[in-house]
Amino acid sequence: MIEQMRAEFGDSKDMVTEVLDNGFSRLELCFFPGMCDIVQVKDAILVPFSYRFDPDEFRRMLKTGLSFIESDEPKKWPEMLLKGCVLLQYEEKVYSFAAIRKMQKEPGNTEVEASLQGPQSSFTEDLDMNMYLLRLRYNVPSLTAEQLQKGELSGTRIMVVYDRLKVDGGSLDELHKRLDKIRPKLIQAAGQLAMFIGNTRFSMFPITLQTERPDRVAQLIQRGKIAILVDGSRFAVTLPVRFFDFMHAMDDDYEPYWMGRIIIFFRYLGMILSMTLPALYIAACSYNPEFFRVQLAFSIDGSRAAVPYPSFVEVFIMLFMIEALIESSIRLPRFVGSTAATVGGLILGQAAQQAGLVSSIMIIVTSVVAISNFVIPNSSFSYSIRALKYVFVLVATFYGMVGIIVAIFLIVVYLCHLRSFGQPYLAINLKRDQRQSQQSR
Amino acid sequence: MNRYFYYHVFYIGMMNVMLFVPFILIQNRFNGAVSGILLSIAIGTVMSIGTIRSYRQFPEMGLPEILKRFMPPWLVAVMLYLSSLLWLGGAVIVTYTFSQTIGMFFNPDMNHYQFLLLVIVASVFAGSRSTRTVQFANEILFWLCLPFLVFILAKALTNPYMSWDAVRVVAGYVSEFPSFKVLAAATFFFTGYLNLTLFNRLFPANFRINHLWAIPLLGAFFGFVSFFIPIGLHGTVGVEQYVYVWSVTADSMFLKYGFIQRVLFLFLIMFTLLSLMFMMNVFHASMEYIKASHPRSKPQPEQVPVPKTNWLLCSVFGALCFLFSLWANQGRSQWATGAWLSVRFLFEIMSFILIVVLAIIEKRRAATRPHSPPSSASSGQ
Repeated sequence: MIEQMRAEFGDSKDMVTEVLDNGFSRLELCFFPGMCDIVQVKDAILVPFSYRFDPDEFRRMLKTGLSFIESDEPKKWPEMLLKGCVLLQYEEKVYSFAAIRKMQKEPGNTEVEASLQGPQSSFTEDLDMNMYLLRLRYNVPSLTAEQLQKGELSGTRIMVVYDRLKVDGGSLDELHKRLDKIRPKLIQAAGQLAMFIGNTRFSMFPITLQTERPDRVAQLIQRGKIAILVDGSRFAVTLPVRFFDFMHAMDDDYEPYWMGRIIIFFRYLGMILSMTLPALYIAACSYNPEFFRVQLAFSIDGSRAAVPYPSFVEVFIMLFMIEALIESSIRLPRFVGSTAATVGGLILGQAAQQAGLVSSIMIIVTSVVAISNFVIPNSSFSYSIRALKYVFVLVATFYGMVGIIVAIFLIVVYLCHLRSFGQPYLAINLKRDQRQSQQSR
Repeated sequence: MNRYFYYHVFYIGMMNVMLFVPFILIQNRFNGAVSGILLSIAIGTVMSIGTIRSYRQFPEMGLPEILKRFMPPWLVAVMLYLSSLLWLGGAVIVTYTFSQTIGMFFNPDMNHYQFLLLVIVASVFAGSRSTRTVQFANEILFWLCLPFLVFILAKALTNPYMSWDAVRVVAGYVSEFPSFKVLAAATFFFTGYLNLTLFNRLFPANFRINHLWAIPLLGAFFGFVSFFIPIGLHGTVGVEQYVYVWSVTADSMFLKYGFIQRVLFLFLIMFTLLSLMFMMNVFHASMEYIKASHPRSKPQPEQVPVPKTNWLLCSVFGALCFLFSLWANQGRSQWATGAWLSVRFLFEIMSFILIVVLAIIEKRRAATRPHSPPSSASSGQ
């Protein structure tokens, strides 16, 4: 076995191959120490084989031990080694022993979707840990998990999890169909898988929801959705989702009803403002100053007195500045990040306006856009809104106020047109319809 | 499910403003407009309820499928082409009037065709979606429009300059007998029920539209509001000076607080949405009719991705709108609107008679062969 594996792995130096001889019998051992938990290897193989050796007991252990699996197919050996198993040959039989090293021993902390009073634990980059977290929160026998392997080079383990009593059959079939179709080379993140299965390359909105919170996944599964957990990613992909799911933070369910509703209302307001405000500014400056109250029109125009170019140039300058600022503060290391924010804040705040490059109202618009964009609880959705803002700016540049209204109409139609795995993306009162049509049958 | 039906009733009832219906009625306010509206309530209610009841015989079927069960394919195709042409006429007129209104009140300097392009692109995109998408979009857009409508109405009715005497004076001319043109215009308030010809496909079998009493109420509401409020605000005689009578009426109100001062702009926002909604539905319905005129086509309320045929047909419709606006001017478009309203009225009466007759035949057929499923009945011929 050892020669075979050595040949297969091209004599890779990080693989350990050893022939152990304790005087009674020989044991061939082959594993990657980097991928295995060496303590387990020692406790389970080396100790019983060396100074506690008893041929009968050792044989019995190999036969009955939970993590020892006899494998007589040489084709599968390399794959097992790569997953972190130990291969051992004893008395002409080959066994694999799963001593996979776990990086994560405890649940992570929520970083992207923080919550005030909700659970603070999040998924980790270890699939088994994630399954544990999920089972812990959704503790019924009907929770079904299907395991797949995707990615020609990465061989990533993927779990498709759902409640088989509640799941929507159509969406599940659709998902299986798409999972069968894809042939990715590498899968490194849940978002990548979501891209592959979502056909969303040209879609303006995400049709799967990524979350790092086990409680959200449990809640979604309870509502009949499907979750996909990817090994090595701390995000679960859930589907099918609706427009409203993206605007929902878990805290809304942990706070009293009306407080939650009010916060949700502000969130939608924030979303609309962050989409349309720059466009409204262009419309108010360049096309329809009479649309707004006279005093307001005057103060907008007065603040623009020093600005030498048309409003849309101003908007593009400021939007670029704020996008650059956001982008840099995400990508930069923590300590440099604060510098970027300070410098950027100074420029955006005072200097640009005093230099007469932009109007002071435009600075307010920019900060409102940025702040209200952060109100959106889901990051991929907030990316969509960030991008859509430019669509509005563009139509407002050419058509003013009417352009904005038509763009709103188009976005409503587009959202209604989207389907997330066969389910409508934006539709209200759908539950009631389904109930009614079931009753009438 | 009921609500989907009433959304159509709502936006078509509101569309009267874009089709010069208030203008036509107000021109005839001393000779028959009031009685015309009253008469139209009776006619509209009978036709709506009759049609709805007839469609109960044909669950999950639109007009094309129903016609195909009774008539040879060529006749069906001709009828479908005619009805889609009729609806398109409405859309073409609305596109023109709408872009005129918007151009006049929003951006007077802008090229009229540039506006038209925006509107047509939006309608082509929206109309080419699947039937189910259109239905969902109707719902969302309805809820977007409703606050504006309620607000404008509240503003108009509580306006201190609203002269109820003027309303009473005009209402006193109830004994005049309406002309055909007035009647045709007034029945437009009720045309919303015709959406069943297409959207009945989406209603599940055994589903019944409830709250039928709301139809006369809604129609009467739209009729009286869009006729009497301009009269109340402009006076019995002053009101006839305006062509875009409702835009001017909205402009005669103003908001004391808030970012926006003139109610006109709220009104225009609402009507931008409503007109686009109307065009989306009409483009979609016409497209579905033309697709269904092909003998082997099957109704598909849900189609993802959008097939190329949809884009193609809707682009043709868009081009028609463009051609119309090349030909039209203020006078011509008013003439065309009047003509279209009358033709539509006649068409509506005919289609009403047709569907009632077909429903009766269907009922007899079902009675003679109670146990045979409907599909075998049609394939056995």
